Amino acid sequence: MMQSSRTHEPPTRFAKRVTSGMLAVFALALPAFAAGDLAPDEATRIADPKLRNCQIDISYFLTPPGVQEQVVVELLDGPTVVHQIFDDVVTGSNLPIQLAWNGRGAGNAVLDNADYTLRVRLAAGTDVVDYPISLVRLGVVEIEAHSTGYAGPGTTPPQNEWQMVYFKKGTSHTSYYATPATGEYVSRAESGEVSDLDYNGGLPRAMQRPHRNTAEPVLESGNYDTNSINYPMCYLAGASPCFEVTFGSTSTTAGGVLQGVNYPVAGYDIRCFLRDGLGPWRTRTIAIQPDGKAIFYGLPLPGSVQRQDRRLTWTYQYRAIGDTEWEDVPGSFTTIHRFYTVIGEPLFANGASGTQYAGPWVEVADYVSGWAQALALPTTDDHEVMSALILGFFGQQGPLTTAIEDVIYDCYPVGGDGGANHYFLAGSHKMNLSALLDNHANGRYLNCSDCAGGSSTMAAMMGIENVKLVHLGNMNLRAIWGIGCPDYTTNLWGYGHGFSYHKIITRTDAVEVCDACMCLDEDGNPDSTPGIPGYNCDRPWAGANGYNQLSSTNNTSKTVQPLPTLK
Amino acid sequence: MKKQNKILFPLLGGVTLLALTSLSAAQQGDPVHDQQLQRARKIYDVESWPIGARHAGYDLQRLSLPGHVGEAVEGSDGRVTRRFRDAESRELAFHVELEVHETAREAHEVLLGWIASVSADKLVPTGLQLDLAAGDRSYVGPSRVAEDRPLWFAFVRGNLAVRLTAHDPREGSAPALVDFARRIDDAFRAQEVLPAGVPLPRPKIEAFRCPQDECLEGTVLQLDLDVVDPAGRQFRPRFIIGGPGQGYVERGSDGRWRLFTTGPGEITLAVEVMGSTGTFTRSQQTLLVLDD
Repeated sequence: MMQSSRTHEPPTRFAKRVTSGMLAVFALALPAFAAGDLAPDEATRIADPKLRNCQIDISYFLTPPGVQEQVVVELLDGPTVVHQIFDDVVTGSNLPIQLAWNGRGAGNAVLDNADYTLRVRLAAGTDVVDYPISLVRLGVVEIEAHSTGYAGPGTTPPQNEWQMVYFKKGTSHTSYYATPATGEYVSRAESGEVSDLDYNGGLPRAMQRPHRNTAEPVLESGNYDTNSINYPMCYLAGASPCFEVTFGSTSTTAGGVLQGVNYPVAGYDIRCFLRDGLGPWRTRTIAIQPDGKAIFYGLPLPGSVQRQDRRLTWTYQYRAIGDTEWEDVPGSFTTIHRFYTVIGEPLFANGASGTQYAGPWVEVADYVSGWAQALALPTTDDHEVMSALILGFFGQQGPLTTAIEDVIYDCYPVGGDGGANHYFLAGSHKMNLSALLDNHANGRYLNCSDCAGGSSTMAAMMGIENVKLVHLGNMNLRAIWGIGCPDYTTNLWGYGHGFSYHKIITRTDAVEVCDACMCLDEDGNPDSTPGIPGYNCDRPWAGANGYNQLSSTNNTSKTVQPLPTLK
Repeated sequence: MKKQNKILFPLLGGVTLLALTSLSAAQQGDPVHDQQLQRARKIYDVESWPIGARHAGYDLQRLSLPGHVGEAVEGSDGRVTRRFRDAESRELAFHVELEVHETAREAHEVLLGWIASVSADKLVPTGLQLDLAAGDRSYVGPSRVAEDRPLWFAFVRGNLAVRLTAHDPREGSAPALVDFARRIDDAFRAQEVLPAGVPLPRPKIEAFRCPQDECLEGTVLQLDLDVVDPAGRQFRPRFIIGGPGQGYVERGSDGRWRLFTTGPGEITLAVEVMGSTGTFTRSQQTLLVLDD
């Protein structure tokens, strides 16, 4: 019979675990004996009861087999019992008796982070088994995305990760905001809260959900939120994401008092594991520290322009310093991160300056990736991405029931006038893209310059190279289908069917051209309606089915212009 | 991610001030636009447009129009914009754009730019032609709703150029843009004429200072901004963060402006101040944000 407590090393794997929430007992039922003996087996050494599905294992021997004893399991802080975990009759066995405890106190109360003793004792007698246990608080307060291969300060791998940009703040749609390079994910104490990892009642802070608004960042009382954010990240297609993670150092007791996280635990290392649906993320970090950082490398993102949400599961392990074997800290937590991939480095007009040029706009990346998905189009190279963009911008096909932002070509038969600029500023060669994306804030009508200015700047920020405008001279039009219009027409204005000028885009210096403003007629009879949609995605300028011949009866002049800047 | 590490720039802490005179400077060097303007200039005979008296500007924020609620004015690149919502439905109804220039000829160029952008191969009708005139010269973008309810209406009065554009005149009743334009025009004319030779009053930036020209990323810096509005009313600063360094500027509950640095590299921090009368002034300085 054991007369004194015994301390044990952390357990390996339990052969059989019992998981009944608060408490469970497993033992073989054998014939009863008069008196039983307790002996130690294993118990969880380090736990964070605020992790999801935390299950602290406590295992001991009660012999001889068949003996029936009233067993008490309790948590002690020094000599003081702070919580009784179990008190019931247990039948002895040659197999270990296993308990599973969720780490909470009476009434599921949150316990303070501290070093405790788990005591197993017989109600009658002095037989005792003691296990040390450290209740700690493990959590992440910041995640900073880096380019693939980042290995810490001073390392500058080739850039394949960019900040994303929001354009709206309240009623203003030119308030540009780049996702913070200092941390795209932040989960820290809000004003009035005492700790980063928990709410004031001691319950764990919920993970920050991915920010779904594509126009406006997270606002708090009208100002940009700095404490609770989870912004999307943008990587080059096929890149492996890299996260630099900062671990939290403050927690809250059930009574609302600030406390530490109670680690490192003397004599033990704790490490963090990260896994998503594709597999584990690599890390070189052995032991984590409160307020410390660790770098994780994920498996590659899609090799095309896409939007992908990844669910990351965070788990922890511990080992005694000097040991080789790691044990699981029971439980885990989950974060979800939204990734957008671009086909190349986001590009903007030369010499442009302002936050709107910090990286691709969230709304643009969301539009292009969403169009490609909706139309089941591949996006593995510039041509394919441009095609998805042009077809999606024009819309009105498949599940895309309208043009972008439900705009309409500015012509009299559908309520507009004669095709004035509403979003493109010709004088300064600027595109008011944010107004267009803000539910067509400058009006529902737009003209060719607006389409060209919008589609070109969107294409470039998705990484398509050499995107430029093409200014065309007057055109005697054949049958066309204008953006947002119900059908093909040979009487665009209601009184005539020609352009004094037209604006389209190119990525091959006008050898091939793109036009999101209208479709040409590919039914073999382009001078009359009805028409068969001829989308203009890298359509050759010259030739029988070229833009020049298919769009107009005259030979149209063309001048290549630079990519516009953004208002 | 870190876009740029510690790089020293020769102009750190440098401050420059400039007034935004007009968009014409930005137009230089664009032959296509120049050709288009040249063509429009001839077609619309700009030289014959009357030269009206100059005014000091106009406070678009004070504009009140029946049946509509105006949002806060926004301004950038010399242009003031204000959106109006239907007072009952709260739907966006139309917006007004205003440019205040040094001369009437510069204002004419703005109006010309608007009508030159029309891609139909037909002249844009003048307000006079449709009996909808306002200002010294006006042009109309008709809609299908009614002749007196156009999609847009643009005019100049002296050195002021204005365009009103309906948001979606197909839905419900189209806003009475011509009536509103005339109200704005009346307000212009009610102001004192700016004598010849007197420069256009602009907001004056007395001070624009950042306390440091170098800091670690994540640092929050309190900015010193002191502006005198030409009419003694509310001015509106717009901060522009030029990279590769990153950040944003917000006003605290104490009324002070603060720069929040969120990414390393050089920042060109510009403030474009829009005065209450629709004129602009700009100042900028640089600072270096270091990788932590």
